[in-house]
Amino acid sequence: MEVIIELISRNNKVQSLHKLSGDTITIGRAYDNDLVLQEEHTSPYHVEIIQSESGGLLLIDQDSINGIRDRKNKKLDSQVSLNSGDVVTIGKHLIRVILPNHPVENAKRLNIFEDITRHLNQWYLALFSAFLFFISMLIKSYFTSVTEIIWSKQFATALLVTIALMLVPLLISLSARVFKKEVKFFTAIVFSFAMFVAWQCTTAVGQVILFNWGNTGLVVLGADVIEFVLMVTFFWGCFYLASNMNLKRISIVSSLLVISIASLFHFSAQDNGKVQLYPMHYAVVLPSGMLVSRPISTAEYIESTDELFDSALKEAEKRNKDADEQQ
Amino acid sequence: MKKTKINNLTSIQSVFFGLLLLLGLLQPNIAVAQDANQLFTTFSPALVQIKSINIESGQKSSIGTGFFISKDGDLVTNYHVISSYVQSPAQYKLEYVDNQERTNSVTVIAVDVINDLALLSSNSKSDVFFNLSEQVPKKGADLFALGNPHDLGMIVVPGTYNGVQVKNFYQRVHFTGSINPGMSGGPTVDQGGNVVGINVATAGNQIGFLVPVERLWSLVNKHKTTDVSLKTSDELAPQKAPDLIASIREQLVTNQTALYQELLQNSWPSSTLGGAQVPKEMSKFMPCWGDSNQDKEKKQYNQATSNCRLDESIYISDSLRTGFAQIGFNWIESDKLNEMQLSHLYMLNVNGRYGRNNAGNEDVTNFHCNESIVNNVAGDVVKGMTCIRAYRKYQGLFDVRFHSLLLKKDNQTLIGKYFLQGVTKKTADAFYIKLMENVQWK
Repeated sequence: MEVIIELISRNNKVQSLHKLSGDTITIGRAYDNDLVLQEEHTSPYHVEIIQSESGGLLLIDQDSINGIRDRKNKKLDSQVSLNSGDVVTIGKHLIRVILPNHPVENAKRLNIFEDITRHLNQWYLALFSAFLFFISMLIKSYFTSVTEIIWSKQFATALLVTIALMLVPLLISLSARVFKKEVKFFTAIVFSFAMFVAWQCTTAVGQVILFNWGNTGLVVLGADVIEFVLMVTFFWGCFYLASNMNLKRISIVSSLLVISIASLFHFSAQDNGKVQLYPMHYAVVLPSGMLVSRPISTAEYIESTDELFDSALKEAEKRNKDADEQQ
Repeated sequence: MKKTKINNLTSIQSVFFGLLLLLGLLQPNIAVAQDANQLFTTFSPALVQIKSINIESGQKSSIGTGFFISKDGDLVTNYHVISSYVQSPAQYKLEYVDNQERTNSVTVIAVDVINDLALLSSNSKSDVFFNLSEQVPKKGADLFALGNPHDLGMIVVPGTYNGVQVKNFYQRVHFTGSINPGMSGGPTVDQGGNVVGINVATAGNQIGFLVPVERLWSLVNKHKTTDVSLKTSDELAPQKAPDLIASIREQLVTNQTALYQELLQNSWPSSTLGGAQVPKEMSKFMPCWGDSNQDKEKKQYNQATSNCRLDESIYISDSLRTGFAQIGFNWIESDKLNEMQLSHLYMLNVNGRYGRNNAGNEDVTNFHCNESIVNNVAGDVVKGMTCIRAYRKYQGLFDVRFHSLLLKKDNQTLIGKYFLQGVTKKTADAFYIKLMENVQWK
């Protein structure tokens, strides 16, 4: 008789696999067992596995202290018949007993992401991406400083932010370890900083658009879509690098996560209907060279403000109506 | 009856004055004290304290002075004394207390928010009342302000007539004498006891302001007919109560039309601010002030500002004042900062808060904003942002804020801002057009 015994973790990950043969297979803490489990809740001679008359497997308790338990730690009889693939608890170990003819799943095709992540897992790429981000921070602070620049201060600040953001790849790698996924620390760094740089680039593009066309409905919608896509991509990557979920599941989970975060923000930011006494509008100004939109005439601009008067009037009417109803 | 009394008074007084002059012992203090005393004794039955009472708490929420102007019980006070009642008639009631400590209820016939006047009527008759003066006093004439400051009791304050303020859009008499809170709505009379103005405000240190009596004349004349009709059907008065809010709205609309007509009709004198042309004092009631960062240490840019402001405002309620206007320019230039840094500096500047808020949460809507790249009359490229909010009670009136930025010069910009309160769309458009004609690169 040939039996495969897998020691598995609580979340079904195989920790070690043993292929054993013989008429009886003994499991216990003593060194003369076929499978030695060095764990203090396992008796020296804990169980035996034999082939039953019907051809199935039979697990027999050897008067052990803790007996045979199922995977939920509920005590079973001293004789348990097993099917291939069943899981029992011996001491504190979860073991799965499998026959050699147990069916196996088809091989997974190597996906493109596996290739990419493997290629990216280089220290120099990690360093480069972190450096790129550091530079982008420096450029940003340089362009937005209107007082005398103290370079050592700018450097230190940019470096501090970069180091702080290293927490993200660290967290990814830590999670990968917990979830028994291959840890690709450098890939995590490359991915995180690439995302941060991408974020800064889209913000910059957004500023040019805002400078030219202002905060109109279409621009807001576009910004929301891009923001959503970036966020989903970011979480998708994090989950991919940190867990063993399949791609479909990762897509669903990351989309749901972003949607729920967005709606949480939405609900926490909702106002109580009180009027804001100062305008909340913030206009973007860039060098004139970045101006591509055609200027409109005075008359056209006045026409465009018509709708502001209309919408303000409508709001006034609505507020008055609500107030009347309350009384 | 009363007229003769006053005539007697003036003759006595002139004799007295003549005597003093004759003796060469001009002691105006004694003369004034005598006059004041007599005036006060004569007219104190015509002076009342006006109280606005909160119905829920039963306590007074505002007090002021009022005075009878007819034997039929017509009273005059400031609008701001009774504004809480006008704004929420369901929560307040108005009453007056006369010199005998008798309390009587009053109703509002008409208000003039622009000049802060209110015409009230009571069911009581008053034998003593004030006559409204029909002529303007001479500069330096002795006047007497009557009123009940801080609820301390009726007093008389002697002072001097110093003409109508010339630098103001809203006509106010400059009265040199103390006007204190609570005296609001009281009359200021000449030596004959004729009302020449209504106490309205103080600037401290013996500088008081009165509403000229002509304003009261026009209010009284306008509402004489209404007055009569109210008198004939006293019982029906509550149903027939005039729509004061509608009339306030009308006054505000008319007033802003007049104000901005005056502001916009003439071509604006222009001055240079850095590399740009901007308007300077557009009117005598809109003085301009300037500043620059010339003496700042370690400055990376030069900045010069000019700011013109109409400081007078119209009181509507405790939470709402309107009628302010403010226009300012900020020129920035630098050869130290690069284009990106400069544009960031412009951005901080153009988004800076401008103009104060004079409205409460329940008076106005949120601001509705847009922005565009526009051409001014000279063809310069301007980034412009407009924010508008509507008045809830006074439909058709808006607060309009416009911020702009002159573009297309490498190392400099001109930021222009204005904030107009309580204007119609028509006025706002006209003001915008005028600005676009008057702000440009040199």
